[in-house]
Amino acid sequence: MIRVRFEPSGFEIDAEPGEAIMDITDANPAADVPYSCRAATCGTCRVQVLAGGDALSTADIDEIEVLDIFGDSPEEVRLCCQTKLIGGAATQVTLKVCDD
Amino acid sequence: MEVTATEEEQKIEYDPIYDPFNPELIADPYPFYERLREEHPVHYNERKDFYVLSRYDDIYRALRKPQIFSSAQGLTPEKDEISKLGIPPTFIMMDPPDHTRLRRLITKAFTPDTVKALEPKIRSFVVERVEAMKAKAADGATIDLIPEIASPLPTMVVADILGVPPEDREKFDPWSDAITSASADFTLDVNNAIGAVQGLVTYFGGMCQARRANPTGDMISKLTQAEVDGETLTDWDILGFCFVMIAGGNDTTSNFIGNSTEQLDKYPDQRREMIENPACIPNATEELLRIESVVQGLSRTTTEDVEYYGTTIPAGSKVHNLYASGNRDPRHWGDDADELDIHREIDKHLSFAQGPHFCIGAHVARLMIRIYFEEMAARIGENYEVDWDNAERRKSGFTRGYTKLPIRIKL
Repeated sequence: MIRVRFEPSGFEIDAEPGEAIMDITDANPAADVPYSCRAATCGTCRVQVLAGGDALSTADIDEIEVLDIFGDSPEEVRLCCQTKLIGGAATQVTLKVCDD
Repeated sequence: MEVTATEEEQKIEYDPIYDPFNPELIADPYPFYERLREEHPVHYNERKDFYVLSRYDDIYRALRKPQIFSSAQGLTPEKDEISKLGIPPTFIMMDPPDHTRLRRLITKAFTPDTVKALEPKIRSFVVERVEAMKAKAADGATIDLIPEIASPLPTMVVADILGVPPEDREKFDPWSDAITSASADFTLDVNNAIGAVQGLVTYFGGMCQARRANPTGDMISKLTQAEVDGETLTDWDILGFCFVMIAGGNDTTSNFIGNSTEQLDKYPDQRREMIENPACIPNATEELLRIESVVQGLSRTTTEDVEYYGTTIPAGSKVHNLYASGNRDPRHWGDDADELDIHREIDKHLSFAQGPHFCIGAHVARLMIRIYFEEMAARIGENYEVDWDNAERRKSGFTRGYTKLPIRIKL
């Protein structure tokens, strides 16, 4: 079980490894993450990884390209539409919606 | 059905390789696009001073590099379109990070929940329109699909999202037509477009003031209360959003309905399959979007020198990205790229663009289209034929669709 927290909404939820962040936020609009293309192209759902990066799936080339548009690195920022929880050491993930 | 050139158009010496104002290209652009892809993958239109990209990979990469291919100078090949038209600052004509901040404000109008909530209203509207068409057909009338359903459907949805009352919605179509149409030459239509922009600014300017005084919960009310970097949006900022919604959302779905009617008429077996098995509709929609992109292409401006196939596009050049050509590039889609195949595995077509400017209303458009196909299938099915002799194609090199599409419904 991984505790996932979204900022700035402050919404928190327990989720299982293998769950997609987009499925979690779709089921919980209170997480308040904006989406648009939902397919690694527009970058609307960028979030800063404040904690628990090692509990997240690795970014693929499509995601890295989109992050590059905004000058972001996948170690610090992810696209919610592409990211899944994976089993790892971290039991707490904190994601903050990018404000730029 | 033919697109005929006016006397004025016949006097113009068009660029024979690619000129969006060439009536021959407007009538059938695909042979032009094939020649571009095969012989001139980076083409310079000397008459209007802009470059053209036509291969899928080149366009895809350009759209995903806004640092080099900027939207800030407008989206047509015309160099000073923003100042010419006097349009408000719109986020589609900005680059990250300014674009990102403004775009995020209206993504909330397009969340899955918000889009899903539109479904009953859209279905009820479509059912009412389809039944009205059948009633007219029962009286012996030929039905023009465009004014009967294709055009009113997106108008209703855009107006509903913006909060425009029903009695004012008929103003939209002339505005969006004037802004998105271009016939003989950009300069010939600019006065019409300016008038449309002024009409839009006056109407929505009044609405902004009314919503600031009495917010109602519609998008304009929300925008009057929104903040970017601690500052509220001005009426002029909000007018930019309205401009995007009207110009981008109003006639695109309408044109799609016209184009898909044509495609499905050419491929009756696939049309039958969609009617008999509505589960096909979502993938068929993507294929129909691919094969006939409503937005044929949009331009960017280079921020640095860029080289393609040995040709240098200098910094500051307008580059027109032909989505409709990339969508039929056999290098990406295979040798049957010109054929409709509703079972095709669609990766990323270009019809909603790619990159940070991906169409913000794509999910609403898909919803409207799905409901349209479902209700047409259930209520009319294959029982209609298109009167091609009286159909009229939209006269624009930038958007593809029909202004008139009569059908005979067989009851």
